[in-house]
Amino acid sequence: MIKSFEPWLYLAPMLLFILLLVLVPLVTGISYAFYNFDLISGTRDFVGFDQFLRILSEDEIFLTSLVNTLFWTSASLFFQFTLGLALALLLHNGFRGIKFIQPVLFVPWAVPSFLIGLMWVWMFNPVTGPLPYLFEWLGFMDIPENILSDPDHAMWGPITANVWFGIPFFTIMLLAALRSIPKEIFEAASMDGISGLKAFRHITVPLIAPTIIITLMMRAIWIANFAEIIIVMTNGGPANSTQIVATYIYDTAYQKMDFGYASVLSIALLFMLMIYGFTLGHIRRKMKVYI
Amino acid sequence: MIRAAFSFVIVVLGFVAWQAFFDDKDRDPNNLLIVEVNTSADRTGLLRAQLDRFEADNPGLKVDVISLSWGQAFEKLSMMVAGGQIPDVIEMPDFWLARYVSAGQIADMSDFVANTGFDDDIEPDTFKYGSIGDKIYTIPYGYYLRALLYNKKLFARAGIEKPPLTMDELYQTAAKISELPGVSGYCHHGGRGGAVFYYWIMTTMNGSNAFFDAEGNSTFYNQGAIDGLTLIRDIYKNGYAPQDSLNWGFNETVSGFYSETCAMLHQTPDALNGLRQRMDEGDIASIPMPLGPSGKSFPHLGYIGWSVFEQSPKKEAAFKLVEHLLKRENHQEWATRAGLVPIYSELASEIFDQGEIGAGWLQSTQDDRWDYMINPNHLSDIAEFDSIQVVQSGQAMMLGEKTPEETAKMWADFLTASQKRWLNNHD
Repeated sequence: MIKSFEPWLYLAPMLLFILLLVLVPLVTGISYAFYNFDLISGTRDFVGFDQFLRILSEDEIFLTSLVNTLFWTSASLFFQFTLGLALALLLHNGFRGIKFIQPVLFVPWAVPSFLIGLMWVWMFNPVTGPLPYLFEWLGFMDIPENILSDPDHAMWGPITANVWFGIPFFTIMLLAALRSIPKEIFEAASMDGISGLKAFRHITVPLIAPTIIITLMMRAIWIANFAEIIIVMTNGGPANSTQIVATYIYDTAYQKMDFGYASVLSIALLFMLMIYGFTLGHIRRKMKVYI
Repeated sequence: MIRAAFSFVIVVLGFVAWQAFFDDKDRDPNNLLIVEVNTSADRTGLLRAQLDRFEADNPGLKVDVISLSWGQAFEKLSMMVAGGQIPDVIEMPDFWLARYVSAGQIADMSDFVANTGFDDDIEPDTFKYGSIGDKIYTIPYGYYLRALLYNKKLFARAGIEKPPLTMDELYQTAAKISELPGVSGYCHHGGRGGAVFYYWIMTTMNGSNAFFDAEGNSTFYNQGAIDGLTLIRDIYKNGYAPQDSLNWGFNETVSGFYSETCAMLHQTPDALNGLRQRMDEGDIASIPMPLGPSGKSFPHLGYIGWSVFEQSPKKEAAFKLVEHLLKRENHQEWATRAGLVPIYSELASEIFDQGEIGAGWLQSTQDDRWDYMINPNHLSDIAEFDSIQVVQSGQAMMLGEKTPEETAKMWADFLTASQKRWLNNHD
């Protein structure tokens, strides 16, 4: 009996540390949802579930921001992943000058997100940037205009910046996974006459699939919570067309100073991301592990 | 090696903890603390010079300054106050005042004003603007008045001989200039800070600068207000303002003007600092904001003032500091630097450029056809309404997602509800 407790005793200091560092702030944050705060006077009134009813019945912006979050996350994730995978395959196969190019390709990952936002705002601006003229030349526009002011296309601005920023993450992760596949497997397959696309589909993909699932899960959660680029580039506008839940939380907390309702919005986002995480985790557990 | 790395981390953590614990050690608790919220290097330098003179005049009193950048000032100050770091004197923008007063944080300055010998030529409305109910909570250190800047070179290229005097002329001028390739007539301020432009056009078309009737109903229900929104919507819809001006804030409108993307700019005199650096001064001129159908116009008059915190343990010294900062010579220095409308009547002609650049502001202060429009700053929710709801719904209107009627009604509903709440609480 005592023996079964013994490991827990050794773990206790670290568990206590984790409890204090992770759970206490989380529970405190969740408790804010039940209060109406006035930060300036320092008063707070208990309002029960009133603010949860508000999100369900009155808040049109929340619904808009939810739909925008899905679009922002899925589009960013799709392009980051496909382009990141393509780049990883290219680097894995090797080419002349790879030693010089490889570090350069990872530079976007090291650039601060606010700077990325500013940089792309300038790129999309017809006065300071080349992109509107490129779009005009390609026939996408009649005259060079700023897509960040067009509610139908504004979201593509931050998505472009986010894709540029996020490709290196997938490249690094997938390149490591590709390099961990034993060469013998490909040699054996080659002797059986399998190579090229077939080898990629039947050997490479299944072997890097666990990495793909984990990276997709982590990155989707990061992207859904990633408000900085949008705040810098469009601030959620025009007319809420780029408002995602994370930017809406920021606005509610730091512009309206309504920490109670911001906490309700955060709980809603946390809840949805947890469902997504559990689903992907379940798929990951069901997958066969080859190596 | 690992031991050295661990030791280094522990030393760094120890240093950080020491800094956190003794953060305030450099600041003597006996010193006054003043917080400025609209910071720039030369402005802070001027403030420090005036504080040094205060310290020299008042041996034993020292003043520390905390400078916050405008963009994050509201949240940072709120956090400071919530964390118990209460300043003695605060630079108070008009639209924050009601929030801080309703929270009981700002000291009543009425007795201080009554007992202080301010000069007779101080604008009588100065104390009224800084009041809520019958109590004075802040004393403006100058006014940010709006006028219409225009690019003379672009006007000449478009064949326009005189700048617009009326709303109709504003529209026609914007249309004519937009015929020039790559140039729009009007620099629209559609992002944060743009609410007061909508308010100007709505009140001016209404023919009155009143936001409410006696019962507390908003005047934005009136047809004039709807016509005003329709006018600006049409300017945008017809391409007489740059397409991306929908998101423009202060800096973007100024850069749009100096890059000749647009030819007319509705701004405060602080825009001139940037324009003078990047444009030939001979190309810039200003006129008062165009007149409405009533023959009057109501340009927005915003202010920032000095307030004293209720919890300040050194209120008398804090009041003394406010008095020092508002002394004529200090005020003249301060208002000249930012191009503010001064609180001393006789200083206006000394501060505003006598040439074409300052003409718009000078005429607005001296001609009866122009009266000021003051935001309903007594409403505690006006700051978030101006900076979020008006911006978002204004953008939706410009894009055709909402009509001017729907938008005016939405704003009027909000303002009416807020005003009636205020009236109920101040019976």
